[in-house]
Amino acid sequence: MKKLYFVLLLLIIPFSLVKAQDNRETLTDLKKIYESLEYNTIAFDDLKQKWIINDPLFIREIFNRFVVRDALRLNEAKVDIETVKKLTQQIYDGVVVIDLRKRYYDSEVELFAFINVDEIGKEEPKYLFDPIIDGFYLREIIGGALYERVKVEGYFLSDITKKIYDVKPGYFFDVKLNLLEPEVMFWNTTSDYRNKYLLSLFGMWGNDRIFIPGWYSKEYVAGLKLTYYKTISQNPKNFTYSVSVGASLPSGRPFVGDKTYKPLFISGKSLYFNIIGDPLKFVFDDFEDFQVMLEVKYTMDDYAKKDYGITDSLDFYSNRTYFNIEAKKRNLFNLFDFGQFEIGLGVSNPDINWYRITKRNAKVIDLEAGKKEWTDKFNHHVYLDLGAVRTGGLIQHSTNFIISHNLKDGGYFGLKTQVMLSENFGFDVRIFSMYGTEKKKMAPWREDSYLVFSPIIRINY
Amino acid sequence: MEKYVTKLWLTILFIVISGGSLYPQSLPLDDLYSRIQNKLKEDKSYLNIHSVPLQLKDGEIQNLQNIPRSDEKAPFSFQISDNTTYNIIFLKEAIEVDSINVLFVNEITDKAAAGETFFGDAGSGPQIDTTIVLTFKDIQELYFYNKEKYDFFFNYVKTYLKEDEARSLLGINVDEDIKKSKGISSTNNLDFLNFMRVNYNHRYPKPALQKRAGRSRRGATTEQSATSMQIDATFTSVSFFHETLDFGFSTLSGEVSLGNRVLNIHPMQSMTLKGGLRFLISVSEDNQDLDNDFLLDAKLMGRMRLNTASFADKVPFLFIKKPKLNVGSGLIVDLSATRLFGLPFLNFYIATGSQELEKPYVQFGTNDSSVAYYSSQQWEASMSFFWNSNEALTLRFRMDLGAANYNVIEFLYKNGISKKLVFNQIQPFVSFHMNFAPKNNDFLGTNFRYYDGQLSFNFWLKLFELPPEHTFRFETFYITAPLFRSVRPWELEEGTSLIQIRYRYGF
Repeated sequence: MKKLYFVLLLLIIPFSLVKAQDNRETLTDLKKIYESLEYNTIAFDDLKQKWIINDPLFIREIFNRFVVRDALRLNEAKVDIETVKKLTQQIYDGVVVIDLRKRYYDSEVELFAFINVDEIGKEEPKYLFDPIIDGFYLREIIGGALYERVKVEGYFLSDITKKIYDVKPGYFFDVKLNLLEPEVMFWNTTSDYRNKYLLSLFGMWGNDRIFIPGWYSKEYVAGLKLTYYKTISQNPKNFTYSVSVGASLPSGRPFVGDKTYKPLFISGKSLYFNIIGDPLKFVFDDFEDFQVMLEVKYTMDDYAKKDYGITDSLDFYSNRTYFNIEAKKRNLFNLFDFGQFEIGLGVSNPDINWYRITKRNAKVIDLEAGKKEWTDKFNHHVYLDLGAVRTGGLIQHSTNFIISHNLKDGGYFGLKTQVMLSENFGFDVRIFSMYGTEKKKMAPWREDSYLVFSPIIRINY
Repeated sequence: MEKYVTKLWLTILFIVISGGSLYPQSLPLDDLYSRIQNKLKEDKSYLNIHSVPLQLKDGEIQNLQNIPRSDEKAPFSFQISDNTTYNIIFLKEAIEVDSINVLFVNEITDKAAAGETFFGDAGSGPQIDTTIVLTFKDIQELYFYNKEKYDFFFNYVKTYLKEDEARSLLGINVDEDIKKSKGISSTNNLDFLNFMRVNYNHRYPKPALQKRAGRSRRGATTEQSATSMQIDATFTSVSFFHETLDFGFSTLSGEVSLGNRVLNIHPMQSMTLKGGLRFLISVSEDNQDLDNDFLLDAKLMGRMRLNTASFADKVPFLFIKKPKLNVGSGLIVDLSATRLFGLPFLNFYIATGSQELEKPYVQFGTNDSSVAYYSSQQWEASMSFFWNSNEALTLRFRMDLGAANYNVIEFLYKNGISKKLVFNQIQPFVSFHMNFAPKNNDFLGTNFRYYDGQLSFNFWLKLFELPPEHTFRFETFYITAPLFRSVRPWELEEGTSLIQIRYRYGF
């Protein structure tokens, strides 16, 4: 008898296994057909509209339709009541949300999945049930009316659509019209089709790092800037290094005027040099986003009396030299979706010279000659820069809070922000306020607060 | 003991049998059939599937009788009829699909032609009725259980595709829906040429026809123009070209006009008349190809003083007071070049002449003591950038960025003549141009320019066109008073405007 059973078993097992295998292959083939029916837009997956339904009642409503329709599947098989109960409990606990993605060329849903909140943002999230990859099947499950409500997004949701960069570094031109720091990228080339050298004209009105910003300065630096991308990046801030060389030009002060305090004049022809790079990257390949900046201005000669265009007697000041060093770590973390947090530390060292022009004297008089060594003319600011930068999407910004300390006449704290709409239009506002010294004791050329701003127009193709 | 062993074997047998037979049943095959059929029925836009007409021959119809169908539906028999046609809908090869997959077959019946309509007659037009006669599940079951029938449809499609192309049922037009984050900028001279053809007062040849021109040099082809000459004329300028002045690699045209490019003044206010020649030189390796050649647009002109101030404030379309700045005679060189070595489009203009002012047209003061302001030299250097809002080139933009300079000499007439340079600054300028040209038909344009603390604005609108190529435009110009600074002695205290009609022929 035992032998008979054994023979029967040997006959039946292969038959059953072959049948199961056939069905599995059929299912696989049908799934491939099902998944291939639509026009393939896989290249746009990361740009498709994505959102998460957070509304607890709405989630229950949808989930209940799945239960009623018996449409929950796990590894392509129906789920048992225990699994449903378990998920229901998670929904009661509020840890289940719905992950959705729309098709690229129309507004139908192409991905729908119940997901634990802890899985959001992961590259390969673990869904609680098999995701629905067909909006028409989803409509069949939850009904036409509810499906339309899901599509119109008229409920509490979190939009997690990837924001693409609108800036195209190194295509043809990148014109950034900003009174405070304009830049015109007008030429580019490559040596191996992966890298880019961009050549720009740049301007800089005043200098925030020495706390004489924008139109409070009678000095406008203009020159050429070379920016190098080792690998062309969609994020324009990911350059490998940039070198700027320029000269100082006299500028007016259209919004400030020459008030009673003594202004800072240009007292000679000067050269400006700035280099920003990531030196540690040359040593450690994985160490990224650590930027070091070195900035120098040096005045090479002295203006004659006639060059100032001043006919009356006047005492005035001049900043002839500065050298600044700054280190900044970018992209530290996402600060509450406000932007990528960055932190910088810098030292700036401007000198201040005191001169006099009189009607009788044919030469400009250095009022500190013989009294001060050239090193004594320097101020030393140490500053901390905490910022958040958001690139891509409709609104981009860089917002930095800066606080400095200067032993001579107090420090400054302030805010610098540039906000752009689609990288086309925006504004630049910088505000600084002095602390730690009385107004009466301040150097005559200093202001206790500064406010500068400029509209920005950016054309980038 | 044997009893227990038997039970154990029986249990194993049951598990294996039930497992083997039940496992496939737990797979959602029907579920999947349902989803696919629902998708094929509902999705009107995204299905990347194709259709071929099934034209049956007499010999083939025998094989297509009593085709079994799923879900206990009655078998289906194909028929040959004038009123009935069939389509095989199939999926082409895809990433994970190695061969053609027949999806379903539908039947299209013209009931009107068959005389089956209840209302009206066959003459009222076709009444098409489309029915799916073999569903996806039917076809799949043919594939599994009636391979010969399935192979007929499969082979039919394969044979058809060798000779003909299947009709795509994709509802979206992916070519039209190409998305770009921003507009577009051409890689060659196209944007520059489009702009110049619409806004410039001299000829830029239009895209060439295939016909070869008798006069052309180096393989140049004729332009798509019905006229042999071009004229651009306003109240303040006229330019002209005739085809005899087309030398292939270069064309020549003439211009006479009032006005000054650098100064913030209207043509009548410049008190000069200029005239000269314009050359368009195309540097190409072989055949002339304006889109890709290096182009140099050069004007060489002379400028002479003309007392337009005496009547400028009386001209009805010029809403200004008498100008205050005298501009001198001299020479003008005006150059524009296309992108050389990948640089932007470059422009350079210089107008220079004598620094002596013998007889000012405008001066202030009394007979004993008067002062006149005079500008002898102006220059401007700029880069031009072009882009469009989209590939249709409907909205076209241009931006010029550069620096400009002019001098002002003050002449004091008091006990003789003394002069002093009172202004000579290099200042940046920026100008924006926008053209609206739906379907490549120029309709309107506008332009803003900020230089030397003054904003100038220009707007034009096409009024009408007459055959063969007469065009009339309405134009208006406005220059503001100085912004953010005080008015200089040679400047007007208030904004000024000019309205005129522009006539263009042959452009």
